[in-house]
Amino acid sequence: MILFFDTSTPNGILALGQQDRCITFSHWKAEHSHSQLLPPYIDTALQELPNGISELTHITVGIGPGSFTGLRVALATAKGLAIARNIPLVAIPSPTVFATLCQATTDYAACCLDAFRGEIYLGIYKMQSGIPVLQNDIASLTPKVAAMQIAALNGSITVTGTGYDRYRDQFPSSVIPGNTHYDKAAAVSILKFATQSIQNNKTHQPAELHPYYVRDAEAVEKQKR
Amino acid sequence: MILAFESSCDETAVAILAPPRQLRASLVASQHEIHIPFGGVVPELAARRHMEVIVPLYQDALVEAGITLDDVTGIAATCKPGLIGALLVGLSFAKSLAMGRNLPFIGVNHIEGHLNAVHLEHDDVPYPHLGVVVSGGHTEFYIVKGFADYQLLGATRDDAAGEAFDKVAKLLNLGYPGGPIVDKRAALGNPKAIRFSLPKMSESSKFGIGKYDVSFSGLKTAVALWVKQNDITDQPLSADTINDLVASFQYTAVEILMRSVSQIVTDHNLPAVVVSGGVAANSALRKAMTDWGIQHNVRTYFPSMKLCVDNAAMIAYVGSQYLARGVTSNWDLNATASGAVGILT
Ligand SMILES: Nc1ncnc2c1ncn2[C@@H]1O[C@H](COP(=O)(O)OP(=O)(O)OP(=O)(O)O)[C@@H](O)[C@H]1O
Repeated sequence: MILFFDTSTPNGILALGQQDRCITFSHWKAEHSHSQLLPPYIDTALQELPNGISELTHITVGIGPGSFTGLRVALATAKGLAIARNIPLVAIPSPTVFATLCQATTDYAACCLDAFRGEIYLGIYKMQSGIPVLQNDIASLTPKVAAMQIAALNGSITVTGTGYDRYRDQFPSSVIPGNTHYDKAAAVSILKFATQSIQNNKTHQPAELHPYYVRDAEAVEKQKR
Repeated sequence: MILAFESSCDETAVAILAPPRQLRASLVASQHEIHIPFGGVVPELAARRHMEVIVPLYQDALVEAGITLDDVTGIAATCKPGLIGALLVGLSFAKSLAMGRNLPFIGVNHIEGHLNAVHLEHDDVPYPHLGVVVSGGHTEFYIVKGFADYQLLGATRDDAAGEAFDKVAKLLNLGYPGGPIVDKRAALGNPKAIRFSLPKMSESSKFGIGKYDVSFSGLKTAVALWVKQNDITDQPLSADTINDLVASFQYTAVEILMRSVSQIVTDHNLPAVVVSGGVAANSALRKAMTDWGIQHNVRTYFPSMKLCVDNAAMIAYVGSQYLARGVTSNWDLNATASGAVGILT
């Protein structure tokens, strides 16, 4: 049984299940308090399992980029659970999480997460049998540059994410807004993605997995300038 | 066995305690050097470092204690006060470890940890007593009536005591952290060489009981002013003059603390004083307090150095005491930047 969660953005997400079965799915809004909300959501979800937490085989976690604090809450929580249960971790970049959740039926999907300071984190994906396959190095860019990269793609494209929501007017009008009304089908898509990662042996031990920050701390960036 | 985590500032710490006071492991990973180029703690860098070291440090602590997670019966973590991003690493990890093992969990106030560190080394501390917390971030006076029963009587109105030591050291380019350096240099100087006056405290304060409050910013300014008047460019201050200057500063800083201590102990007729926090390492404070205690028949306690600075052993102790009383925290416990001692939320 796989437990998945992502708190890289204000949209917290949790799913419990495996392959194409989703047992529970929750999502919530939190600007600064994922640490308050995530553990109770996990606790409630695990109560849906007849044998409780002992049924867990993997923890899958969105590792970023995104809110630095949000990433650490997710990662620290994932590590604690993995160590307590002696089970491995599966890491999914957060833009991949949201690209998966919107279940694009277009040739491409792009996820733009709000990176603040006038930038977004961009992930571009080729959709292959419903699974997004990352095409670029996820980086923080201005919405303008991101929009240009998206406009250069050849084929239909779905765009999603908090960065797209914020800078929508800067993107080409030809793109299709991704579905953000996440339901159990969306949860199944992410559980499938996790199952596939596990089948491909893409698992980690708790000590070796780190947040995918992409950006340095602001103080370090300032010092470099 | 109680497992505890501390990550409120720039030290990651893990401890394992066999209650009530047998410490099986107490590891501290300091990140001082990371912050030196920035001249102070950078919260984001602190949080990143905590994230890197928490799992290996936890694993080392189990090895040092010679136990496995199976032997742990409760988990504690600092939840306030401190840097939120830093606190959240230890807190989130601790909560999920506890949840994963169905173990009781308790969030602990860092200051309450300082106030209780003494019990790890002494089983004869009388109640009520005066608890003095003097560190880089705090300078507070409490009447401790029993475990989890604290009454705040006074605090600094501006800089913390350790902060004053650090700022004076910085002003004189003596290095960082300033406390231990000032302490060493002061030992070579004459504490009466320069006379700095004690601050006058008005009766009102944010705590309503102004008379026990302290202030260090006036002293810091007086030192700066003295330097300005005496540090003439073609004649830099000699090493001897600096020794005299820091000795005089330290003498006054200790006087400031001792004034409140003696007032509180007298007014409330307390049999003992417990001093904790990084500044409790200061040799002049230790001597002044000990001498004063002998003279006034008041017992004085200083936890050993490793328990005065930030550590998880004190968090384990407080956690174990709450857990033994059946007090636990909920999974929705959040980290907070500030927070009064003894109130659990
Ligand atoms: N011998 C000494 N004399 C004076 N001050 C000292 C001495 N040794 C350490 N300090 C001071 O103690 C402080 C560090 O103590 P500690 O680690 O308890 O505090 P902190 O982590 O800054 O704050 P807090 O515990 O309130 O979060 C520094 O300000 C340091 O200069």
